[in-house]
Amino acid sequence: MKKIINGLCSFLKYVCLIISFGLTLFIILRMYTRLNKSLTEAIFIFLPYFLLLILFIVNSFWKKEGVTKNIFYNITATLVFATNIFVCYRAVFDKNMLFNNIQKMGVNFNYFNDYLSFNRIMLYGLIIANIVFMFLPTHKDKDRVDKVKEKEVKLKSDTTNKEESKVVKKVEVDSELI
Amino acid sequence: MKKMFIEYISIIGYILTGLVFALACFVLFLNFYHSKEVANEFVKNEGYVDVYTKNKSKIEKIRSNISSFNANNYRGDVDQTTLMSIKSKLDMCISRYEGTDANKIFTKTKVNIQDVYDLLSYYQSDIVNDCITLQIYSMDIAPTAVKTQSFNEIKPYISISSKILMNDLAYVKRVLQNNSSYHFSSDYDKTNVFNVTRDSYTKIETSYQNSIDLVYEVSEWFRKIIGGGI
Repeated sequence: MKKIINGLCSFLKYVCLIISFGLTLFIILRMYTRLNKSLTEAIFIFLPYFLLLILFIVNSFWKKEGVTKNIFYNITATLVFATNIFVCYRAVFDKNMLFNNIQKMGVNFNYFNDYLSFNRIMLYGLIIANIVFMFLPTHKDKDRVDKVKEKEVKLKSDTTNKEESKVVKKVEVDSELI
Repeated sequence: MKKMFIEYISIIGYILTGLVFALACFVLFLNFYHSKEVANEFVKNEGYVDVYTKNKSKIEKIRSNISSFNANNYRGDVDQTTLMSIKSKLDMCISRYEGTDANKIFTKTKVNIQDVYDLLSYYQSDIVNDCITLQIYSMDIAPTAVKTQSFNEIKPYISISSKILMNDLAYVKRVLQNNSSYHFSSDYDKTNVFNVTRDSYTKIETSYQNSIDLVYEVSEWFRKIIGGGI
């Protein structure tokens, strides 16, 4: 069950990331065109999306299990992007928010602008958490450590066995002599 | 040492993810709640009589008050031109009350927030601007001021009531327009976002009632001066 949810969330986070990026780009493009602002000023809005995408790709290529098999992280990432999609949907389609009709621009910029700061906090939070989880040891590392430990234990037990057998042999020789 | 470092890193990572999770949940649920709040409709009860229907008889009374003046038969002391001017002002007011698109919204059984905003716009444009400001309030202002002795009786009432009507819905408009913003808003906005549709609608109805009462009082005064010739 845990594996299925994790697999589903790790797939969904890619899909949601792309959709939310597309929707944010659409709204920002309309907003900046309307305000006659240069799109280069919006680079800091899109930067966390690119960073996250790069990190996700790095995680899957280098098999960073601290992230890829972290169900909590994957659920959180999916939730953040789902929230982003829902907010974008409301900014465009929720006609009950009056600024959408008053401004008559098809997008409620006032509402979306309020959300942008939350969006940035959540995306940068995900980036930092991702980097932190990348330092966690993978299963291979753990197996390696376990094997080394097992070997050490074996070596110890072998040496103690040898010493014991030596002692037994000595005792036997002594008894024969006696 | 390395193991301890990894454990600390793991704790930091989980705390960060937890904070992001909490914030995402907060924003998501707040949005769900807000979308429900702004979609809230004001459904009128079966027995609910809207302010337009309630005041139809009053409008008829105003009309009869105005029509009681006949320039050909008038033999009073007050200047006929002044009376004609007052009559035309009141006529204009009645036509605005009857012709406004606000009446269509007043007679609806279900009203959503967009309807309330439209109602406010129609009311402010057709009734407050065209009737109260341009016709009634102008009676008190030169050069269109009414110059009769008896006007002094009603002058303070017209002046004060008109000024109140011109400004009393400004905050309702601000609240309605502000319904897209709700993050960390003031306490005032927070308490008003609940049932903003119903509250705003009621406020507009109250203002409409006050405006029609003002026009009615002016028409009664008009009938009095033409009847009694004070």
